[in-house]
Amino acid sequence: MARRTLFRLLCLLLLLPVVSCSADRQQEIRDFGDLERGNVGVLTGRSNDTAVRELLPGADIYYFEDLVSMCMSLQRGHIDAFACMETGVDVLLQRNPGFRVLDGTPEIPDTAAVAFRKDNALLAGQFNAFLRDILADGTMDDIRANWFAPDAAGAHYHQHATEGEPLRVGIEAGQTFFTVIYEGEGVGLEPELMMRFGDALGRPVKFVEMTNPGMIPALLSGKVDALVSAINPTLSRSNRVLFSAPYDISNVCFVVSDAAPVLRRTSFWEKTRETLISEGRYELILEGLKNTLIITLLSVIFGFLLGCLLCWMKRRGPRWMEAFAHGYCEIVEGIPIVVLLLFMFYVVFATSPLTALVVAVITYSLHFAAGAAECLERSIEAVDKGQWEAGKALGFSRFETFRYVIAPQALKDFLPLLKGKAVGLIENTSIVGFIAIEDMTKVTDIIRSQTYDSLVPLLVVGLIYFLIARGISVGLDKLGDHLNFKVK
Amino acid sequence: MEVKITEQGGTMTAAFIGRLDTPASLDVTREVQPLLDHADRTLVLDCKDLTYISSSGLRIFLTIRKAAAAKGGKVIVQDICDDIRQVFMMTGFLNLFEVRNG
Amino acid sequence: MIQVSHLSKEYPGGVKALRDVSLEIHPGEVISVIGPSGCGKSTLVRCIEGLEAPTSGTVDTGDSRLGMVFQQFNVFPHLSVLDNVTLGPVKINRIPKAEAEKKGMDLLRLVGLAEKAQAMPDSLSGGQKQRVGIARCLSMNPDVLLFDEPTSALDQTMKTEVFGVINELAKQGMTMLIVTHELEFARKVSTRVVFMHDGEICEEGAPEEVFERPQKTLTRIFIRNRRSLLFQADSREYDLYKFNADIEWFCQRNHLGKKYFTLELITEELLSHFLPFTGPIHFRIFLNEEKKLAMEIEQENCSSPIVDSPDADEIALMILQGLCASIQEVQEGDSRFLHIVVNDVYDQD
Repeated sequence: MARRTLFRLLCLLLLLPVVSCSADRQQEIRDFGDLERGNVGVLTGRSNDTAVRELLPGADIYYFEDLVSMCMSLQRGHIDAFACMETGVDVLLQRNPGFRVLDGTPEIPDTAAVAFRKDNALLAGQFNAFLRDILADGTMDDIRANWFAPDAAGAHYHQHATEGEPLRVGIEAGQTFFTVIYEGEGVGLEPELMMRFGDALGRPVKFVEMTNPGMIPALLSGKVDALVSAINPTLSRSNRVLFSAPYDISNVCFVVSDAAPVLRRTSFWEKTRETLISEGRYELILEGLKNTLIITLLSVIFGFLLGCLLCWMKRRGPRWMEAFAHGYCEIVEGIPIVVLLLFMFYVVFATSPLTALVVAVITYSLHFAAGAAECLERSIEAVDKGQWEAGKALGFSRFETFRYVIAPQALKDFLPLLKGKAVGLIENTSIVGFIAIEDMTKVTDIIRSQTYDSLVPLLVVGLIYFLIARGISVGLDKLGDHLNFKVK
Repeated sequence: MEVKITEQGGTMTAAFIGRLDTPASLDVTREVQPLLDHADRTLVLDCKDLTYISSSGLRIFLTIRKAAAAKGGKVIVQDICDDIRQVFMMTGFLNLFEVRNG
Repeated sequence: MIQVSHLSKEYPGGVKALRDVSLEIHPGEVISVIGPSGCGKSTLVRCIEGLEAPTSGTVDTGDSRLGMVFQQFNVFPHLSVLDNVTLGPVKINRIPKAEAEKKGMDLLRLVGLAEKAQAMPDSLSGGQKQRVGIARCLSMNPDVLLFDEPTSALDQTMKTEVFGVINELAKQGMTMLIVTHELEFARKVSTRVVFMHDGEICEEGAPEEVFERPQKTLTRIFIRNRRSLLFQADSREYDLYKFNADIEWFCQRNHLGKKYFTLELITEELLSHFLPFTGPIHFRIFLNEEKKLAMEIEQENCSSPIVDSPDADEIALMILQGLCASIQEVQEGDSRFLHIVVNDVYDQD
C-alpha cells in the first residue's frame, strides 16, 4: 500500500518538469500598443493597478501576490508583460536573461512610503525629518547605490543602536533588493533605511516578516510600529494608516520577455543543487520544518488534553458545561482555520507579548481540541452501553469502568478518526505564514523569491509534508494494530 | 397447489405439487378432468412433491379411482411421504390404491 | 437479606414500569420473576442492581454484594475469557494476578469453559458467552446473583447449557433472583415464584402453588396462555393459512417437531366437515397434564352433536379417528365443547 503511494508520487515527480516546460507564449510584444490585447500582470496591493487598467482597457489583468510568481509567469509565457517599479528593475533584468523593459511607455508615477498608525504621528514626523536629512546629505543616494547600482555591493548595514525600546517594522519579501530575506534576515534598501532610522532614534529595529494581506491589520493592532516593503500610499489606505513622505519615487515600467518561454535550460538536478544546496538554503527548509513540527506536535498534545476535557464536559459535565462544549466545538469546527488564526493573532492576542509561534500553537490546539473531542465522543459512544452496566455490576467505579473496559474498546475506533484529524492539522499549519511564522510553506515562498524557482522548493516541501502525514498515518495504524483485539 | 399432467405412451401422469387442502381441492377437481376423460389408461398420481392432504383431497383421488374402475383403467399412487402414508393408512386408502415408492 | 420497599419507577413520558413493589430476598432463596413482556420485571432487577434509579421507594441491600448477569451477556470483547474473569479481582480487589487466575480457572471449570480460557469472546457461542458472564460475576464473590433474562437471546441448546450452570449454582445454595420467560425452568429451579403484571407483583408463592393453583385470574391466564395456542374462527371465511402458520410456530416453540401436520389436519377436517358455524369457534391447543398434545374446541350457540352427527363425512371421520386418541363432546351452557387428545402413536420425534 505504502509502496504504491510512493510509486505514484515518483511518477508525479517525473512528470512535473515535463509539464512545466510545455507552455507557449500568447503573442509577440513589440511596443506598448501590443499590450492592449495582451495579458498583463500586476502586484496586488499596489496603487498602479488602477493606472494600468485605465491605460490598457483592453488588456487582461492578472493579479500576483509577489514578484517571483509574476516573473515565473512571464518566463512560462502565461502573461505577456508585467508592471513593476522602475527602481531596482535592473537587478531583475540581470537575474532573468531575456527580460527587458518595454520602451515608449507612458509615465505612471509609482511611490513607496512607510506606513504608521494614525495615532503615532510622532513617529511618522520623526521619519519624515530623518528622510529629509538623508535625502539632503546624500545618504539616500548611497543606500540606493548600495542596492541598485549596476555593480551594487549589497553590503549589509549593521545597526549601532542595540539598547532601548525596539522599533518593530513589518516587512515583506517583495521586489528584489527593496527587501529580500537572506539567511532568515531581511536585507535590502528598505531594511537598511529602517535600520538607519532606528539608529537616528537610538532604537534597535526588529523586523517582523509578514505577507501582504496581514500587514495593515498587524500595524493597526499594534503588533508592529511601521510597515515598509514598497507600500504605495493609496487613497483607501490613507484612511486607515498614516503614510510618510515617499522614500522612493519612480515610474511604473512594463517588463516583457524576449526569450523563448522556457528559460531554464539547466537540468533538474543542477537546478535542485543551485536552489537548495549551493547557497545553504536547505537550512531554511530545516528551520521551517522545525516550526511546522513544533506547531503540529504541541498542538496535538495540548489539543488532545483539551479535547479530553471537552469530551468530559459534553458527556458528564453539568448542563451549562455541556452546552458550552457543544457550542465551542460547533463554532471552532465551523470557522476556517485561517480566519481563526488571524482572529487570534490580530484581535485576541493583538496587544499581548506572546510570539506568533505561541499564538499559532494556542490556535491550533483550540482547533484540534474540538476535533479530538468529537473523535473521543464518537468512539466512546460506539462502545455498547451494556459494557458500562457490566462494569458497574462488577463493582467498578465509573472511572474504573472507563479505564479498564471502555477505553480499550473505544481506542479501536478512536485512532483512525484521530489519524484524519492529525493529518488535517499538518496540512492546516501551512497557513501560519499569514502571521509571519516561517514554517515550511512560508520558507518556500522565501526561497522562490530568492531563486525565482518554484519547482524545486515546492516539490521538496510537498514531499516533506507528504512524508510527515504518511508517517503519522502509518504510526497510528501500527499502534492500532498493536492494541487491537487478538481475535476478530 | 399445482397439478402437472403429462402423457407418455398409454400412461397419463399427474404430478401434485404443494398442499392439497380444502381450499385447493376446488381447483384441483377441475384440473384432473383430463384424467377422468382418459380413465381407460394407466393413471399415475405422482405425490413426490405433495406435502399435505386432507379428506377433500382424498376425495379427488377416490373420484379418479372410481372413473378408472368404470372405464377399465388403472391408478397408481407414486412416492407418498410418511405423513400422507399415515393418512392413507387410517382411511383405508392404502388398500384401495396401488402405492409405489421408489 | 435484600429488602425492596415500595419501589416505583416512572419513565419520562409517564410510563409506569413499577408500582409500589415490595420484595424480600432471603439467603439461599432462588426467586424467579415471571410475567408478560413489559410487566416491569427487568426494571425491578435493574433497580435492585442500581443500574436505574427508582422514582420512589428504597432498595436496601444491607452488606450483601450483588452480581448481575445480562440478557446481552456484556462480556468484555477486548479481553480473553480468563481476563474477563480476573479483571475485577486484580484491578478492583487488588488480588495478585496468579491467585486471581487460579481462582478464575476454578470458576471457568465450574461453568465448563476451562478449555476456552485463552479464547477471545468473539469466538464463543452465545451460550458460552453467557457462561463467561456468570463466571465473571462469581469472580467478585457476590452474595446474591441477579439474572436479567439470561437465556432470551439464546437458542434451545444454548439455553440448556446456561440452565445447567444456574441449576448447579442453586444446588450450591447461591441466592438468586432470576427474571425469565422460561416457565418450565423457573418451576424447576426456584424456591419462590413472583408473577408480575403491569408493574405490580400480582402473585407470589412456591412454584407448584403459582403454576398449578394460581389464585389470581391474571396469573391463570398468563400461565395457561404461555403454554397454549389460541385462535378463533368467526365464520366460514376463516383464515386457514394464518391458523396453519400459528400451529407451525407453536410446534416450533414447544419442540413438537412435525406434529403440526397432525394438528393442521385435525383443524382443517373439523372446520371443513364438522363444525356448524352457529357462532364463533375457539380453538386451544396445549400440552395436558400428561404432557400429551391436546385440543379444546368451543362452538358457541350449538347444542347438537358435532362429531357424532349422522351425516358426517366418512373419510374426514376416519382421519379424525385415526389422528385422535380420544374425542369427547360436552355441552356447557350454549356452547358445545370438543376435548381432543392427539394420538401419539405416529410420533416420529
